[in-house]
Amino acid sequence: MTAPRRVLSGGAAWGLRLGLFVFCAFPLYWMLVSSLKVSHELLASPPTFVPHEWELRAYRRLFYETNFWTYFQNTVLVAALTTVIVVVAGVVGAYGLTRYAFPGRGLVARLTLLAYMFPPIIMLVPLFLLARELGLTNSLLGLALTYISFSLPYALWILRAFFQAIPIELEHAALIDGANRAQALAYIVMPLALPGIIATSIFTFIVAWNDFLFALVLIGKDDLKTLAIGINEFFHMAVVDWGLIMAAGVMVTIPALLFFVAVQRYLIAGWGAGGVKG
Amino acid sequence: MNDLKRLVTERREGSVSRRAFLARLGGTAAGAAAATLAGSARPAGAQKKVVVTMWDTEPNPATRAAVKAIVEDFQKLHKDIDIRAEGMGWGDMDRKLQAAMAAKSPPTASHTQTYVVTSFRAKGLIEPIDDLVKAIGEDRIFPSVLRWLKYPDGKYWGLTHAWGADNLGGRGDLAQAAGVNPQSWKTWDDWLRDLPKLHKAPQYYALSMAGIPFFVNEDVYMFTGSNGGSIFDDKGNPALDSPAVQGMLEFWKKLKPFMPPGWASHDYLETLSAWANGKATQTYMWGRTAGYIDQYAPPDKRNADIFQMWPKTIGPQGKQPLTQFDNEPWVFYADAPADEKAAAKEFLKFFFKKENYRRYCDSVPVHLLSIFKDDFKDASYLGHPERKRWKPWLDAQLKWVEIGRAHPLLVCNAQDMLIPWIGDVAAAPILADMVMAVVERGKDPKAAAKEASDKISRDIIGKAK
Amino acid sequence: MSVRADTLSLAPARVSRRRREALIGLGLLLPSAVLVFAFTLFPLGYNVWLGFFAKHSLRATSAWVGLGNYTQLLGDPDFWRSVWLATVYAVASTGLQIVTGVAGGLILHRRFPGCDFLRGVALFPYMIPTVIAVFVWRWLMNDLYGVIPYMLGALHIPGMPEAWLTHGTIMWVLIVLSVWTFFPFVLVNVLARLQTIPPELYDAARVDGASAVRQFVHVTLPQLRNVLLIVLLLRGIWMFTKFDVPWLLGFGGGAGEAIRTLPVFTYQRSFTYYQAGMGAALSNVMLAMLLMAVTIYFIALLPESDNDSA
Repeated sequence: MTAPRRVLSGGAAWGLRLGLFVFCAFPLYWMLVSSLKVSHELLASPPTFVPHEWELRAYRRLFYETNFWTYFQNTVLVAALTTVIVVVAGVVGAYGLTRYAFPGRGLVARLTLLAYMFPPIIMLVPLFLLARELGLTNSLLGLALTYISFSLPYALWILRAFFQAIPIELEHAALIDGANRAQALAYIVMPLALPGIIATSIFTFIVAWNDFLFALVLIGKDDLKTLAIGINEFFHMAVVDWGLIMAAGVMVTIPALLFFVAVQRYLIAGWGAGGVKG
Repeated sequence: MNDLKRLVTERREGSVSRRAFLARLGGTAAGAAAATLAGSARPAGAQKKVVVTMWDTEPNPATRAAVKAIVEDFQKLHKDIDIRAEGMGWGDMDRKLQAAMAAKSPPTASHTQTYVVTSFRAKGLIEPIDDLVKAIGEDRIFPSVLRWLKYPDGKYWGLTHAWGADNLGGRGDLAQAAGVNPQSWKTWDDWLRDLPKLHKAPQYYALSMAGIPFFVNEDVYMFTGSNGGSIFDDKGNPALDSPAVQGMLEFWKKLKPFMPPGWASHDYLETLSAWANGKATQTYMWGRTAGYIDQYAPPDKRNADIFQMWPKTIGPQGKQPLTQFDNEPWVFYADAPADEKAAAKEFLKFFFKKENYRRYCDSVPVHLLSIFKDDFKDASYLGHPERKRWKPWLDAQLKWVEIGRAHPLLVCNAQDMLIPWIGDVAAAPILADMVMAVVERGKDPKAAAKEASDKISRDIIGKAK
Repeated sequence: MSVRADTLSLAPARVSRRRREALIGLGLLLPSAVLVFAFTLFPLGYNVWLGFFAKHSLRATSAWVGLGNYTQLLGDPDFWRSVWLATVYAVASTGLQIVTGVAGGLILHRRFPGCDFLRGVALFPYMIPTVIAVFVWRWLMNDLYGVIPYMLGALHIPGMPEAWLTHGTIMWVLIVLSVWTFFPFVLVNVLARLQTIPPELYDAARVDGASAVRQFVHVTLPQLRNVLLIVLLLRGIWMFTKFDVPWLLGFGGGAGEAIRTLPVFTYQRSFTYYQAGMGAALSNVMLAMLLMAVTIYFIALLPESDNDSA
């Protein structure tokens, strides 16, 4: 990649990079050090930028005195179920959308884009009432179905873009060689669309991982809460402190960070074709 | 074809997690699935059990551990009963209970607020529990506790699990240094006169109050009650243009300069920790603040000489101060099966037995106070190290109960307890908006009260009728 | 995406074959269509219907009120205030996200030592659950213990607020926090587009002696136009309808009263006043606004090609 003209002198460029770094990273650094400070230092003024004393009290409390681990498991479960269903239905649907001609094909594609823009708050009341009628409140399945309906149009949109980019001649060649459609899909299309599938999985996972609104409305039982609402309640409980909340933040952020480092390559590839809703 | 293999592996993993997922599908399905799993894990012979679901409002770990121990002991004696005791947050308890009933899955029994008892009773959602109250010992329970459980039909509709009363906590060391004698305060004016001496911003502020609606509601009715009035009239309509409420709003404006500048976004937690760590001279507090003091205060200050109980004062129209009574009662749901309710009553009888109930109360010793009068003459109850250490706190709470000026949330006058829509007023941010408009946005108190009254009439009473 | 998708028909088209093709194609879309219909389109229709009722969110009471919910809204100053607050929030936070995202894109576009690391760091705020992001900022901005008010106070700038989570200033915190959380969306889209700008365009500009600023205005910006328009539309819609950030920052009351945007107002109507019908009507109002925005966008600003740019 040839760069455009050197725009800034070295010093200024590094200054800007540093500024960007501090803007993005400082809140996270502060979360980490706050979770490690001893109680009186946490509330000391002026605040200390590097803890004088540190301890794992907040983490012990998080794991022994709250239901954090239950919330964590519930969140992973809902996010995983959502992702599996969205990816399977999305791959099948996007294949249909790009490889078969049928009336209204273009319209469906446009509708998926419209649905992608669609903000969840609009569905607040009807989804709550429907979930209640169907016995899907206080149910992780009900929650997953909600996330699926929000993620699927987007998954179709992004997968359609990936499938369109796969040269159809490859499939023609396979068919001529005697493969059937299913084989062509399994051996030709899927491997080539894999980056798109992974990107879709990640974005879908994030939708479910981050949602607050529907978990708030649909889940009331403590043992079914997800992280977003569970941690929100830490704030209102009488037993809790800032250190604990920051520790919860760190514990949610670390798996996300590891995951993120592992898949960053796919993420940016997929992001070029759309973006995660949020 | 490595990619393909990887994909297959992913799918296989996906199906594994899906199986794990099935165990927790949630809702009624989860109950069934969990029961099946638990049943198969248990040795044979565990036939049909009565499953009792009980929700309480004490999510803190020490209390949970105490409840768990009591439940285990109970189940040793009653192998045919399975008690599922769950803690829930008290912030949006009302909504959770209503939602559970709308979904036709109410618990067998739960804690709730007095105003919810009123509202549920009016709708036929709960049933009276005279038998339980009598079995436990009506005559042993504080009259001030029973008073809020008995309705005009002469029946008890709830049973308080434990009680506490709100107090004004003050820093003795700071008062002494400033030459202030808080015990001499009688009126708001006395208090306002001394506030500047207890205020040294930004090192410390004279008073810390929470700005989140739930807590603003608490202060609204305590101030109004201490100013000799109510936020409702005899018919339950809002009486916000009354001198008592208007005086409360004017008073709040005068308090504002002595509060932390960001008070409007502070939560309960922040007010307690601000008092404990020396950022605030005074705050409205509960017995559980002792835990915060042990966490945040310097070790040499963790005692009742430093963290004192100061008197609540009265407004120009008031005769006696009013405080909040934390008295969530157990209620029994009309829709729950009779055998579950019978089993739940058995459990509560066991729970309120001296040795069991003591374990519960001791989990937060100066906050979950016993409903039994005789405990306060019992050396083993009073002799608990924490109750001895915070003796003045215990006495201050007891005083409210003795003079009968501890009222449930939003109940200024005793008859307000019967207003069916108090719960909806408590859930809505209307009263808090009124306070914020006056105190933070400089709106005229009359205009703010008018606006709030109109909203209560339109959005709450209008919908309830 | 230069290869045009086509059907896999090998043989010359025959009617029966085309029909089979169409049926298979529709069949493959069916599972997605059923899910989306059941959980998006049907509720949407149901919501329009609900908007004509006064219905309790939890109890069975329900009564037809025609346009009553809408006429009440039109006369309700709280509703108009929430629309205004949502507009301020959407415009300011979207604008700043775009500025920050473009600036970040320019900073990260050229490779330098640590470039990948910094890209990762810059994307990361987007990956953090909203509830964590908001609580971290509540803590950073806390008036008694927060590090940012402390640092700002140390600058001794006259007129600097003592506390930020108050009526007068909480909107600023909401905007900055939202920019922090959501600008990576803009950043990634800009970055992806920047890498496809042919270097020759810059060469030509340089031959003409254009300054860096002129290069940006005359080369970079026109190339980014389509991406930025789509990003503007998406982010504008999503910020206007954002519920969790303003709710978690203000809990709908106290100082949060000053950030009671339309989505928060809608939530409170539905779940603190239990007015499901009113909540539905408010959602319909938001939907109408959204459709208007999309229509205006497609009529006035339609980029030449609509899907290879985002």
